[in-house]
Amino acid sequence: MTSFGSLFKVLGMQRFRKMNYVAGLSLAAIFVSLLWSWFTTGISSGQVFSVTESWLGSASMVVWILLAIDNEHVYTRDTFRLIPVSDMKLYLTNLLASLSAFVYFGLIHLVLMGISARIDHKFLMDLTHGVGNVPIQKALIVTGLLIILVLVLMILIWTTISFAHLVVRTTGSFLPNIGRRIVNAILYLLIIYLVVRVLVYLIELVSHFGVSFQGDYSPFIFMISIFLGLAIVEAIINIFLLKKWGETIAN
Amino acid sequence: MTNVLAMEQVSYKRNLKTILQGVDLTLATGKIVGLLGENGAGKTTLMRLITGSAKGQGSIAVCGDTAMAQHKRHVSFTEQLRGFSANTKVERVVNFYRTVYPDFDGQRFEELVTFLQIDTTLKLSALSKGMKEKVIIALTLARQTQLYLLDEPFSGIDSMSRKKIISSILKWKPTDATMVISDHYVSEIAPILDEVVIVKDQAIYAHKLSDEIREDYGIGIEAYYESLYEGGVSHD
Amino acid sequence: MEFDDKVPIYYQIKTYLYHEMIIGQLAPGDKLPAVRQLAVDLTVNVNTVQRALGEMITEGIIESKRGKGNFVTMDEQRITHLKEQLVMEQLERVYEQLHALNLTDEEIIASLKRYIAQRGQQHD
Repeated sequence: MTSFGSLFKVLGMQRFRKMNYVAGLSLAAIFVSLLWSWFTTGISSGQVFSVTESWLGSASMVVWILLAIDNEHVYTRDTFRLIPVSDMKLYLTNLLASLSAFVYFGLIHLVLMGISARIDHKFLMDLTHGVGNVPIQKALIVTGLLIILVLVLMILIWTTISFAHLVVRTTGSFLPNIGRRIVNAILYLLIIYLVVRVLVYLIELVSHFGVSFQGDYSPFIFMISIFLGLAIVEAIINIFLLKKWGETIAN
Repeated sequence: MTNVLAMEQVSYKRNLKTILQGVDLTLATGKIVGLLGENGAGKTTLMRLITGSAKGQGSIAVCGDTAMAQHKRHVSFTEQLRGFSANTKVERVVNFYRTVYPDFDGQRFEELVTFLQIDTTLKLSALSKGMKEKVIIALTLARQTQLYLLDEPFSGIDSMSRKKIISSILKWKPTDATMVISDHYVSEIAPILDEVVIVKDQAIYAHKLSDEIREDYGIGIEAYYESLYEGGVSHD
Repeated sequence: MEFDDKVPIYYQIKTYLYHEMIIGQLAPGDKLPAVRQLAVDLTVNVNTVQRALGEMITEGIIESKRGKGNFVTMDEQRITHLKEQLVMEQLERVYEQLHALNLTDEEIIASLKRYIAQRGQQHD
């Protein structure tokens, strides 16, 4: 049987390489944009930071979509499905590999953001001058929770995509081949609608009880637990679907 | 009794269409078996059921193990490297295999690369059909397993590559391992087959020793195979 | 080597090896190539080579020495006998066919002589 380390290495490697590639492209784009401004209108105060942020912001979206695609490919390709591991190990390692790659890209983003903020230090200080004094510790905790919330949301969306994908593939092998595309499209929409409904229901339920909980961070913690809880349920169903009906694309 | 494969009452349906029905197939260790049948008869499906890439009904034991994750350990299948983008270099694919399969023998692989004259610095997109098949064969045979499944390794390949691939099969197949080779064109591989399994009418239509066919009917494997479609040889 | 798909492969391997022995390509006492090597050289299955060699060992044409490999028998009489046997087999076929054409034994001998004489002329 293949060890977790080896499996993570091959699943992660491809994705980390992709992250480096996108980061390189973003850097090139930032550089060209700034160069262009420098020749035409000149670089104004705060422009380095804003250009960097806008490029990296869109790059994060692209990266997230690329990872979602890689994630799904693993389920349908013999290259990955023939690796001698259980379906559960493959599924979880796959998800972890995507998450790690995303965090890695987030770190690159953070470093570049730090550098550009350093360049536009004065501009940013002026900008935040008017904002009331927030205790630094509290700000850090909120930022931390926010990051965790975003990551958990990412996981939830990934597990939801896999869920929809696996359900559609499963029904695809049972139902006749007539009108597949339409049926698939309806199924995708139905599943996503269903997941959103469940999510809304849970949030309403918790916010209802939430009144009795006091503290500044509780809304975050609740949201994180709901997202995570739902993601875990979906992951369990996904592993089951993968094991029972998850076929690969034929040679 | 040493059976590398035991399939009992295996059936497979897709889109309400029956592909295989009530398949019983037992293969002993150390054989080279030809899996013959028309295109679409279910040869690939049969292999995919064994690897777990397709999900059907019935029981399949590989080396006595019925758990799918265990099958993957015992079976080396000629998968078409779909998990890699076209601009992946062969050496990167090799690294993937080396990392993921504990039974991947680097020494064997190097020997196969030399024998089949593979250039591992090429990208997958730069490989001709014959060269890609050679790479796949080298990767498949470099694993030291009990059951090798080669799915149509000769389709669309020039005769020189075909001969090389056949020689590499004879050279590198471990003595106690069984190899199943599917093909719809028999004559080229007929001399190397111990047994033939013919898939027809959604089931195993015939399973015979090659030399038994030659002795009993006085005809070649190809003629025998063709006669099944014309109803020439009577069966009991 | 080209095989006739209609004839059992193990039988053709035996015929091939007999032939090699009779023409002296494999001399008495010579070591045969390893089984796998033979399989690769002839493009046949290892099991089929094994079967052919097994039968030849039973016949006493080949001697198997444990851990050393297979050797052509040192008993030259056996090889002479083998040659005689193969010649007779070929002749039998010719005889049967000529006989079926209603030729008498004398006529067969006469035709054979004529044939050989003709061949000799062609080769000059």
